[in-house]
Amino acid sequence: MQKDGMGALFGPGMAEGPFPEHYEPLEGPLAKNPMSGQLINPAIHIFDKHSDVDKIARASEKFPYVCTTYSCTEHWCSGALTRWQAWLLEAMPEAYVEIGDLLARDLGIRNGVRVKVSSIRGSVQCVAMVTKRFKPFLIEGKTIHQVGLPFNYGWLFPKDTKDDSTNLLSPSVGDANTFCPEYKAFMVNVTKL
Amino acid sequence: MKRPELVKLIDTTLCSACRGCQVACKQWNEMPGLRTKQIGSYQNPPDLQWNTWTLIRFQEYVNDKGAFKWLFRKDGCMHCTDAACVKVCPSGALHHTEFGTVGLNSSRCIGCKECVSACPFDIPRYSQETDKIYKCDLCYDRLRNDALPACVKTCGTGALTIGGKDAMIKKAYARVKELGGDTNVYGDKFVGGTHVLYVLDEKAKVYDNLPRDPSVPFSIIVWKDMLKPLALLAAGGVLAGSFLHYILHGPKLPDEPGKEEKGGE
Repeated sequence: MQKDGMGALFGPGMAEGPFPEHYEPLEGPLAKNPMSGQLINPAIHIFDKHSDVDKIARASEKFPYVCTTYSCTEHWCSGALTRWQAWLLEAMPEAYVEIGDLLARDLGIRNGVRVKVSSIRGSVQCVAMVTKRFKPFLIEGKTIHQVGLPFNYGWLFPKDTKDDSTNLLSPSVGDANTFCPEYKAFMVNVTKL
Repeated sequence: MKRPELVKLIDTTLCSACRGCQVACKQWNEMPGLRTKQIGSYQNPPDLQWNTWTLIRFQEYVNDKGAFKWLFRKDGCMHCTDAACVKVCPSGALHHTEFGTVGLNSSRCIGCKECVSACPFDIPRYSQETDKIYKCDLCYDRLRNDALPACVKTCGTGALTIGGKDAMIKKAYARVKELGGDTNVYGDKFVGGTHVLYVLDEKAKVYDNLPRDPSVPFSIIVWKDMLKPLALLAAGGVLAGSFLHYILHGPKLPDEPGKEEKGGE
């Protein structure tokens, strides 16, 4: 966005650019960008791939599902402040993973059971929420399923919580200008417990 | 002071299911939040309960054309004109207020649960701990002070509004006319007209826990509307008869000793 409040096709002064371009996320289902020869944003900072939390599993059979993260209305950020509030915790008590009904059927996962979601960097356990709202993508002729987790859960409270932080799954990478984290698309696997 | 008959309109087509109403209701009415489990739904607590007087029901619906919709419905007391709960309440705890809504005077509640089985919408909830029932009273205390009910006050999308009965019914029908399709007005055609109206996105039969044609159970009409007045009449008759007997025959005096008639002993 420009100083005049408008967007522009020509945007000088950005780390990448000045023209818009489509790149795949750092960790995605594709090994090759169908739009151009450059797969990922060449201007992003990539951390040491040899540390456990900086591993990347791109187009991997071990982690076949696209994962996205988001917030629920009831909690703020990691929920570290809002989970102490009884009314909010009552309305949104535990971590969950939303799974499309087609994928859930393939994996034999029933609504409301605990499952394990893992990426190459870590894993969390949470409740499966089977829904028609997540629909599979058709990408380069392949059906790719997506799952989604809120990032509002973790440790400390409630005292007996079994939830882990969704951040254990996500890659440490941000956009090239502001380092706004790329937690909207990365790859995971979902298994029954 | 004469108060206008009020109607709350719930426009489900504008609801974003933020559940602000659900929480604001607990805040104003000082109801606690209890521990719940994630059961695979955004709907939580899973049902109305003694500390939850209003609840957003989440429902995934695919219509016959295969189109998907996530339906949200704010559930809670409908404030019937012809209210089964008021009819059956033996202690006068449930009553009609000057706004036409159904109020609840907790101190009078004896925990008999007759209202729980009578309500066609399955609204009142019983608490074992206090031995009382609980339900929405449309924030009677706030209405008395010319304030909006807590749920209406907090609603960010304009899905909840409240106003004079005729104006709100008109508004509901205007909204349905504007939206067209399967949208419909729910509430004004049964149990004497409810003081909570819905503009429903889909036909009423689509929604979970929403009766299509709610009515006051027939047994309640027989017992409370027909037999109760008869019983009162009978009780009155006994009193009137006794009085008449007193007038005609005078009081019963103690029998004089020695003048006993045959029989006895």
